[in-house]
Amino acid sequence: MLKVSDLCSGLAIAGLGLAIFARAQSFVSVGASPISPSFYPGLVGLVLTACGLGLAISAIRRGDVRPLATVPAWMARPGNIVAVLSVPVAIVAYGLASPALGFLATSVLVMFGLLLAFRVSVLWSVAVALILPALLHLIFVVLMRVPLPSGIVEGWLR
Amino acid sequence: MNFITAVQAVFEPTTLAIIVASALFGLFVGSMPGLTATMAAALLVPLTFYMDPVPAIGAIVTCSAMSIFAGDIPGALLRIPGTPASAAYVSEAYQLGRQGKLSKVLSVNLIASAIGGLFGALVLIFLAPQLARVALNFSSYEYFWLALIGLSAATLVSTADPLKGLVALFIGLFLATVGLDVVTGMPRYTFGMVDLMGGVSLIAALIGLFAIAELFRKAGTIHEDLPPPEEVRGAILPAGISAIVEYRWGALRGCTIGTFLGILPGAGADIAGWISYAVSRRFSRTPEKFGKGHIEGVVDASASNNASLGGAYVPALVFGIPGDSITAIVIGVLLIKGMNPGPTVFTQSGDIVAAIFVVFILANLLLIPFGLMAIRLARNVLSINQRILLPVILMFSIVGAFAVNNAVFDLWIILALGLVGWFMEENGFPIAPMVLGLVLGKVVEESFTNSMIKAGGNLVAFVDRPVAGTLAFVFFAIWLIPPFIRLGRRLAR
Repeated sequence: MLKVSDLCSGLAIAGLGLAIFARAQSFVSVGASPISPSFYPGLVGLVLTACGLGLAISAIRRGDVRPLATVPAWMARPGNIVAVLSVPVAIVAYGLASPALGFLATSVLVMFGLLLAFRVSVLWSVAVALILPALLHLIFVVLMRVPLPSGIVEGWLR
Repeated sequence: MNFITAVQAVFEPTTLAIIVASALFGLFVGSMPGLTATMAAALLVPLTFYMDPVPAIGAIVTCSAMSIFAGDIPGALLRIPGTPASAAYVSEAYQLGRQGKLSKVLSVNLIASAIGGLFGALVLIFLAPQLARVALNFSSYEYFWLALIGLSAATLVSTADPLKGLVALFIGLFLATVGLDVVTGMPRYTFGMVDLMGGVSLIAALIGLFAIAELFRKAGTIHEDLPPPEEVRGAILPAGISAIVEYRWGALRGCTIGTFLGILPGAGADIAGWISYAVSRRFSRTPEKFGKGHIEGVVDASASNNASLGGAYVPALVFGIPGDSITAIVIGVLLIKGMNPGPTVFTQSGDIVAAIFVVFILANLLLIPFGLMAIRLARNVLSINQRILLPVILMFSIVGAFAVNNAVFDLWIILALGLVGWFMEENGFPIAPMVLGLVLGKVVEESFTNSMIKAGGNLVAFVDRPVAGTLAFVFFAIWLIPPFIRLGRRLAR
């Protein structure tokens, strides 16, 4: 992940705080309650703004002249970039594909892709990608009776 | 509380099997460098969702006790702490190993961890019910101040930069406001998404912040293979007994410091290890030996980090305020199980509380045989290919997060909070205050709103009752005294 200077992160946090505060103003009070639903989130937003500004000011006071963001060491290796990117890709792929394909087919495909992205040999990737989903199916579906998305493979098993 | 019923509940075959399985899981995760005890607990949460309260909490208690100890194993073998709780004395333990005292240092780690864990458990068993009796008289005013004190302590203790701790805390408090407002039922920060009406899923948030963030970090270092560990030979347990006897007062000091720090919200096993090691060095007759392979500090700190686990359950059970990240997860699990952590839990769910006490004792007794097995198998466990292990953990996290609500939306939460957690840790923002903010946010808002409604908007009511007034004083003292001391020092210069 990028390392960002305190000046930069402080200003971003102050911006987030202001956005939270501004949005809170749209929460209207109902009835005679002495507390509006906007009070608490508005207060949270204001404190976040103050903290963000405090971070930015203390960075300026320290004379923190680091660049706004520094490129982390892991980005120097293409293999590591692929591995890092495979994490969100796997989550998104599972989320989008599992309702249609079902748990078993999706997890075999996602697991196989993940293992290849982590530079595991094809033979090991195939073996783990077949065994792990079966194990997870056993734990969640058979032992704990948790309904996981059903698809083609689950249909064959019935 | 009926201890006989509690013992029966814990020794029920299914519960016992779950405890044994979570002990093995905790030992495995703890001994893998970079995977934390908190991550182990977070990964267990989706499974506990489908269990009864006793096996659910039993699994987390056992898993965390085992993983905190197991973190010592790669420390002594590879100079890499398995969990942050072992970081304070990793160099000392490794040097002892290099001097041919590997069995001795691992034996000390194991025995001191079990002693520390039992000490913390005994304090929990005797202190928590007494405190709960007092806390039964608390009203929403006292809870409001207690929650604020807990959050303040967590923020100040967790990081060297209180401002970054505060940012993390308030991001957590903000996330807790997402969803329907408790009083008016108005949707807040949901942006029209039905999935957010019930708020940010706590389980998904925990998996995102503790597991996915860690996986992102580890994925960036997959080129770094672990060095081959040394094999532990000979009898293990007897090798450390003489050191424990010699430094028995140090072990007791470590237990006391660890339990106290565990009770203090925000200071968990990591800080307990560091402080106990430093105190041991400060009061040692031979401080010059520290850092060169001296067992004394290892005794204190090994006892301390395990003792903090029991201590952390005191504020969690009595006030519903977590003492560390693991108890924040436990509170989440209790809430999901329909229990309300706080003094009433001792009267309404006394048997479950008693069962938690029994599990604590059992887990720390099991630590000796299971720990010995983990030491013997350490060479094999540490040889497991991380490139296979990390995708396996990721897949487990994805399926676990999805399974709880059967909602794809929870996957977006683990991804978003995983990225947030990764960014925060890389830039010096601690995660623990954020989780505490997320867990306690609703308590703070509800107790504030209820108090305001009761008092008709009169703020004086918040400090009117003697206990509430005292707690308010403590809260303001926590925040105001340190800057005043700093200002005084600056003026004196």
